[in-house]
This record gives sequence, C-alpha cells and structure tokens, in this order.
Amino acid sequence: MRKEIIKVSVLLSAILLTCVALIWLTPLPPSNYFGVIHYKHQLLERTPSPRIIFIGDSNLAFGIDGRIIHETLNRNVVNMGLHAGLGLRYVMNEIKDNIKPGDIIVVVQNFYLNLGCDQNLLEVILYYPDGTSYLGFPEYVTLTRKFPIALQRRFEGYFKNFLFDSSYGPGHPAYNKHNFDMYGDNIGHLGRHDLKLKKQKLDIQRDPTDVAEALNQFSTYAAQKGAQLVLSFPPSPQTYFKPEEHAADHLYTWLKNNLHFPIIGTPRDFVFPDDFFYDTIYHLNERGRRERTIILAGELAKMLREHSELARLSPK
Amino acid sequence: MLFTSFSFFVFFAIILAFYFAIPHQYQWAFLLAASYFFYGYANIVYLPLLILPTFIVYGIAISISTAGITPTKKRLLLIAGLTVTLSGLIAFKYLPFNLLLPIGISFYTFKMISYLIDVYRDNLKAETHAGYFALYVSFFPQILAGPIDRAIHFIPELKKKVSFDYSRIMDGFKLMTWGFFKKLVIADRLSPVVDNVFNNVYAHKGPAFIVATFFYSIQVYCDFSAYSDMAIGVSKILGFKSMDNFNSPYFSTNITKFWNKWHISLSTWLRDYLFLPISYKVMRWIKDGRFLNIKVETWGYVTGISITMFLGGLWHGAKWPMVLWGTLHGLYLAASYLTKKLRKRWVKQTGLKQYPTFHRVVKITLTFTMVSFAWIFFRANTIREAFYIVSHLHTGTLKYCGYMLGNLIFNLDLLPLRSLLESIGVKPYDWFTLTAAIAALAWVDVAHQDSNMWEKLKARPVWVRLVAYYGLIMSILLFSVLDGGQFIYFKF
Repeated sequence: MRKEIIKVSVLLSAILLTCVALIWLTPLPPSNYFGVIHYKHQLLERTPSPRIIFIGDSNLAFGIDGRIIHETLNRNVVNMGLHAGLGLRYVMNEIKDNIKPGDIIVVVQNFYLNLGCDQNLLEVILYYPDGTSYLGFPEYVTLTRKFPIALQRRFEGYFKNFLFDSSYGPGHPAYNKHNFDMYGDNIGHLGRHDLKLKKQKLDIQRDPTDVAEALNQFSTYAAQKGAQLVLSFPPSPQTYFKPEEHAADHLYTWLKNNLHFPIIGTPRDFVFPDDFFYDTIYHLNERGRRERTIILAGELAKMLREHSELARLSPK
Repeated sequence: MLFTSFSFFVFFAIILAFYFAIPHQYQWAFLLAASYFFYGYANIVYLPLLILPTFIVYGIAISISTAGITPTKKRLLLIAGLTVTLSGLIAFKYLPFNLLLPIGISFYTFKMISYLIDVYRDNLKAETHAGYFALYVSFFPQILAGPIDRAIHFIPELKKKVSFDYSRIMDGFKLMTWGFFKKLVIADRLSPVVDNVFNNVYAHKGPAFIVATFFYSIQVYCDFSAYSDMAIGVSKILGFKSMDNFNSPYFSTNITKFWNKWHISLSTWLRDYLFLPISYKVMRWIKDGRFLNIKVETWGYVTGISITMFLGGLWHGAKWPMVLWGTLHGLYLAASYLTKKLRKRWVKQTGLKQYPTFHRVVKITLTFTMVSFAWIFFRANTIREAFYIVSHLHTGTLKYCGYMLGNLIFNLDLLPLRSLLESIGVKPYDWFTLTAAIAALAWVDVAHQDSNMWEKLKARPVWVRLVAYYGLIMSILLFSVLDGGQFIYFKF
C-alpha cells in the first residue's frame, strides 16, 4: 500500500510540476494585451488626486478618450478598464488601496454585471503577480475550476507559434499592451478597419442583488476614503439594443432603486449606430469612442454641478 | 450532471468520502439516495417518473413469482408490468405530446423490462428488498446512458460486502480517465466539425461528406464508449462489476462481430428479449424443415434480425433516419448471414486466404465503411438530408482524389487535404491534435482486442506505467475541449 501511495504521489507531483512550469515558468508573450495591467497600476499609483478613475471592462479600454474627460472636467484621468473576465469584485479590490480623497470612481461594466471572474484573470495575475492580494475566495474557486483552460491557452499559444505561425509573437495591434496612452486608454484599434460584429445578445442582468450589495459596500468604503462612486452604462449598437431595450430599462430602474450612489446617464443614452463599433458589441471605434466620451463627460459635469455634496470633491 | 462536469467531481468526492465508512447494510440506502439526487439534479420533475414505475414493477415481479400462480395470471401480470414500464417511454418518446424527454428513460425502462421477463421466465427470483431493486433501476453511474446491466448480475453484487480495495479503486479511476480522454480530447473536438457539415448539408460536397462521416464514426464511438468507460469506472470504484459495453468495435471483421462488440449491453438485450423469441416463434410456425425451399433457421434468423434491428433503430428515436439506420443494419446482418458461403468461396477463389493479414485488413475496412455509411442516417437531421448526403457522396470526390494524389506525388504535400479540412472547420492545431489522439485510440483498441489493455499495462515495469498515465492525464489537461457538450446517447 505504501508503495502504491508513493507511485501515485510521484505521478501527481510530476503532473503538478508540469502544469506549474507551463503556467509560471514559460515566458509570457511580450506584447499581450493583459500585459498592460502593470502600467495601469503604475498610472493609478502615480497620478495625483483628484482623479476620475474608470473601472470595469474592455468597453472602457476601447471606448474612453481620457483626454476629452481631462479637458472637460479639469481632472486627471485613470482608465483601469481591461477585460470583463476580471469581474467587478476584482476590479473594485484592485483600486481599493489607491483611492484618495477627491477621487470620483466611475464603474462601467457590461450589462451582465458579472461580479466573479473567469480564466482571463489568471493571465492577468501572471503579468501582475501582486494582483493575488486582490483575490477573494470566490476568485480562487473560479481560478481553480478554470485552471485547465488557462493552462491550455498558455500551451496552445506556444505550440501554435512553434508549429504553425508566428502570430503569437507580436500580437494584434488592437490587443497590444504597448498601445495604451497616458490615461490608460487603448488606442491600438483607432483608425483600423472595423470588423463585422458577431450575432450575440447583450445578456442583460435582471435584478442583480449581489452586485448591488457589493457596489453599495464599495461605495461606502470609497466615501470613507473621501471619494465618490458613480455608475454608468456601456455602449450598445442600435440593432442589438432594440430587442432588449425593455430589459435595459428594467435594469436601469432596478439599479436606481437599489444603489445608494449616483447613476449617470441611462442605457439608452449610450446607444450608438452599429458602425460606431470596432470588433465586438462593447468595443467602440474611433468615432464611437469620441461620441461616447463626450456624452459621458457631459453627464459627469452635470452630476458635479447638480450634486452639491460632490462639490467638495471638485478641484480648487 | 455530466461525468465531465465540476459538479460531478464534487458529488462523487462526497460519495466517496462517506461510502466506505458506512456499514454494509446501509450502503444501498446511501447509494439509492445519491442516485435519486443525481437523477433529480437534472430535472426534479422527472423523479416521480422513475420512482413510480420502479415500485409498480417491484410489486408485479413479486406477484409473478408467487408460488402456484397460474400461467394465464402470470402472463397477464407480465403484460401489465410491460405496459407500465413502456407507457412512460412511449408517451415521452413516440407520441406527439411535445414533452421534454426524461433523460435516461430508455435505459432504465429496458432494465425494468429485462427484470420482469427474467422473473417471468424463472431465470431470476423476484427481489423482495424494494431498496435493492430501486437501486438496480436507478444506480447513478448507469441511469443516464447505461450500460443496461441485468438484475441477475447486479443485485447479487449489491449483496456482496464492499470494502476499500485500493487496486480496484485505481482500476476504476484509470477507466474513467480513459473515458475522459475519448470524450474530451477526441469526441468533443470532432463535434463542431461534424455539426458544421451535417447542419449545413447543402453547402458541402462529396469529399466533405466523406470526411465528416468518418469523423462522426469516430465521434459517436468515442462519445458513447467514453460514457460507458466512465460509468463502469465509477461502478468499479463503488465495488460493482458492470458489464462491458464496447470492445474495439471498429476492428471487427464482419458486421455480426461488430454488433458483438458495439453497445454490448443493448445488443445482448435485443438478442435475449427480441431476436431469440422472434426467431424461435418463426421457426415454430414453419413446422417443416424448409419453406419456399429455404431452411427454417434462415427464416428464423432473417426475420428475427430484421425486426430486431428495425425496433433497435426505433428505440434510438421516433425519426425516419433512425429507423432507416436500424433497418440498414438489419439488412447488413441478414445479407452477411445469407452470403456466408458465397463469401467463403470467393475468398478461396481469389487466393485472399493466403494473405491473412491483408484479408483481415480488407474485412475490417469493409465493415468499417458499411458501419460508417449507416451512421449517415443516424446523424442526419432529416431523412431528406440523409438522402442528399448519400446521393452526393460522389460529387467532386474523384476530382478531389486526383488533385490530392497529384499534389502528393508531384509536390510532396498535403495541401488539398489541409484545404478540405479547413473548409469544414478543422484548424491546423485541431488536425494535429486529432491525428495524434485518433492514432493513440487505434493503438489502444488494437491492444485491447485480445486481452484487457489495463491488465497488459499492469505487467509492464513501473516507469512505463507511470509514463503512460502521465501522458494520458497531461493530454487530457492540455488537449481537451473544456466547453464541450452533452453525451450523444443522453438523448435516447
């Protein structure tokens, strides 16, 4: 029996070691989109307050022009948006230590409002190991479940690159860590040909109690640190929004009734023609990005004017 | 709850944590509760459909085996029992009520039918312990897609004391792992490619149909045998010896042998409860030794096999393609029986007998081709599409073969094959993975033909075994399709 246990232990150790080696020891693709996470954290640490900090998913990375926000509101801008797979809980946790008095934090997540993460978070952690300190128990559970997917992605990347093509090396310009500007906005897709949007649903969340609870808690935390949390909505292409407009209205009303902090704009305010989108229903192209930012900046300015309690957060 | 899902891992871990610690006399109750939970987890609404007939059949079987019962009463009770068991199956599967088919209904219905008939024939004493019988019907590893174990084997297993046996448990896990490989690495990788062709038949031509049909043959085998391996593996870990369901069927040298190796628990079920009774009945009808100058045994076989395979096709679904698939296999089997002598003579005349290996390869190839051809009907969405595929198998095929051969001879490349595969959705990474995985499968199946592959492996040095297990587990981790779908046989 002892012998058998040793054999099984040897086998399992060999498998574990191979997995660890594949995940952590193989060099990371140097230009990968997720590699920008390090730079985004540097921006967050270095940019002086009062700031507008955007947190959420890739709708922000692809669809915000930080310069317009900066010029309209006369505030520094940090765009932390990267990917929906990181989940709201993680993106809130990762900025917690760097919230400063006077900051306005704008949350914009896709309509599904996913709190939890998927396997993409593991890739982000590989680029930014300090990110482990922002993981909660649910993230650890998900990452354990999704570990084989992350493992396969790493392996496939190298394998495909080795055997078939070299696209793994430099990466696509629109998804390249080197193409982010001083505000944390992705500019790699600007001026490129738009790709055909795939058929998909907006997947609008209904009555997201757990999300509201987490956001309200985060809002309280931000307030304790002298900052303000606000929520806004992602951009949507007209033809995709139309069949789900009632669900979007319902979500808006529900959030309005359940969130204890301001919401700027409505889902309908961010509906744009389909040709304002670059490659997915959440990624705006250059034109869309500009239009969306102008609307968002206007809404933020209006909010700052209307809410007297926010006046103290305004720059002198 | 799929065997390949995370929820099953949690479920099975909990079962294992408690199962061996529970005294033997209560283990059945624990397994029964687990089985009902497992079944109800898919859709609790269908749990009564499983429980109710179970207890009715239990009662009827006891009545059938009562001492001194008259043959008429016994027969009436059997008919009543069969009506109860079959009514659910017929209502959900064959009547146009648009009801969602309860998962596994065909499998547990067949288990109850075999039990009733065995008790009726006095092959088996009716089980008096309701819990044991309920567990036989609902045993969670087998309930969704078999194997269709017989009560005569299963219930005595239940009564045996099960203890923690490391070697048996490891054997079970090995079988499960091999099942994972077949399902996740091969079947689920082939699935989107096959779907791509069979769901858009009018957009494709002969070469694509041939490749997709070949792929489907592999997919359906890997998918179903993987489920069986996992079910047998889980049963083994829990201390039950399930019947084998597959034994390298694609290396069969004729269609009869194929059916002796494919879905064994169903084919033996069909043999015992349909084919043999029908054949004997026909032979009894024809009292003289010959009818229309044809031997009575031939009448018995041909009639029996044709009806059995027709019903076997119908069992898979109330759709014409399924019925045709079964009928086609019935024709194959009947033709194989009728041409036995002729084929023997032909082999002798052509001199094929002098080259046994070549002869064997020819037979295996022919059998595989016939089986694959029949799979077209099994997989096609409609009968019209099935006939479209069959009538277009040759469209562009010759031209393509010439193009491929020309390229191979003059340019030494496989570009046409690569283009064809890419046109049906096989990416370079997929074909590399698939070629390696299918080669491994074929190698294992060849090894498994004569004796159990796991026993052979056990005889090898430790390092060989460790390398083999390491390779198997790593290939599952690295090459499996993790968002694959359900098992094909769940819909039956």
